[in-house]
Amino acid sequence: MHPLWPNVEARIPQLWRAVCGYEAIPALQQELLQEVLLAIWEALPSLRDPDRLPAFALRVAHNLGASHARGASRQPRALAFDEELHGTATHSPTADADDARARWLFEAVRALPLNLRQALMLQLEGYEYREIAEMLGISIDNVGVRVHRARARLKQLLDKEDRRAN
Amino acid sequence: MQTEEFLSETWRRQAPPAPLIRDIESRLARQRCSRLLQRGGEIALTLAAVAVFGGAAAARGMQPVHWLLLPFFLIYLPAAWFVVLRGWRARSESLGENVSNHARQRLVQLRTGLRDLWLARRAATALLLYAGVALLLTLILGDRAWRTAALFMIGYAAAWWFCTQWFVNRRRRRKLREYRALRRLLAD
Repeated sequence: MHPLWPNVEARIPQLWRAVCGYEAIPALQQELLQEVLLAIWEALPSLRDPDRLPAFALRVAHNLGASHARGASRQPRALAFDEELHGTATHSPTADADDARARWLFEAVRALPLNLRQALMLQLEGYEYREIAEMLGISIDNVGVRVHRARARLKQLLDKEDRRAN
Repeated sequence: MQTEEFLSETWRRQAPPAPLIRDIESRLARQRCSRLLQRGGEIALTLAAVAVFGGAAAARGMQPVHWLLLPFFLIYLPAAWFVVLRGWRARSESLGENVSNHARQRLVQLRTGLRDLWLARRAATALLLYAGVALLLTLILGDRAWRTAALFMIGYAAAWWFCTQWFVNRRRRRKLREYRALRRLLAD
């Protein structure tokens, strides 16, 4: 086993979230994740700087994900709106509410065009604009524009949910 | 800011299901194994074809069916291996690149792949035409052994033609879908 493989395994949750941003069906999500991990496994011997492994692994995930995706999917399914799901900061969600919220978020992300989706997913993972620009091969300004547009679209979808419930 | 916090917290809280994590190494091992088996199968088929023709030629026991199939294998096998070997190398080289670079390189690979599929279709049609001409000539000029061999070959060529059409249509649809998605990604 490659000495960096445990570091790759530690990144599986991040890679999983990236894969879920491209595929909705659980069985295909697992297949795509396997494909990503296999590609990383095969490419590890050529990775010169181990410190760049997290960004490298995510690049592989997003490259395979973009090839796998069929472009933007349909609008996310409406949830039975619950005031507490989108309520104030004092709310403490139940596990079911968390799951519903997460399912909605992933469906909403999959509904975005690929270019907005990739920038947003990396930003949600906590990467800075400079790092996202390097990973996507675009300018920092372009990252800002894409993230802003993606969040605006998600906010519109969230507001639509609020109105539907009210 | 609530929306921002909601998005980031909800996103980062998601983790893969525990059974998937437990099974991931065995799944990867199975996938690597099946890839090796596939490569092994391709190599074995090639060696089998070489053994059949080489053995028949060495033993001076070339039958009509060998002579009829020889042109096809002499052209098809090197071409098929050229395409397969190119495919092995191409994809993995660019996966670690940034998304834009990979998408550009992948578009080139996909165009090449679509051209290879076009060639495969043409090759299958050419084989069918060759088999048809061989059958016609053996019916006119050949004896029973040659006619039997030609009938065998046209059956083989027809089956090959149908399998190729099915395979090419499936692969072409997938490649075109990926091509359009990556074109949109780079255009935006």
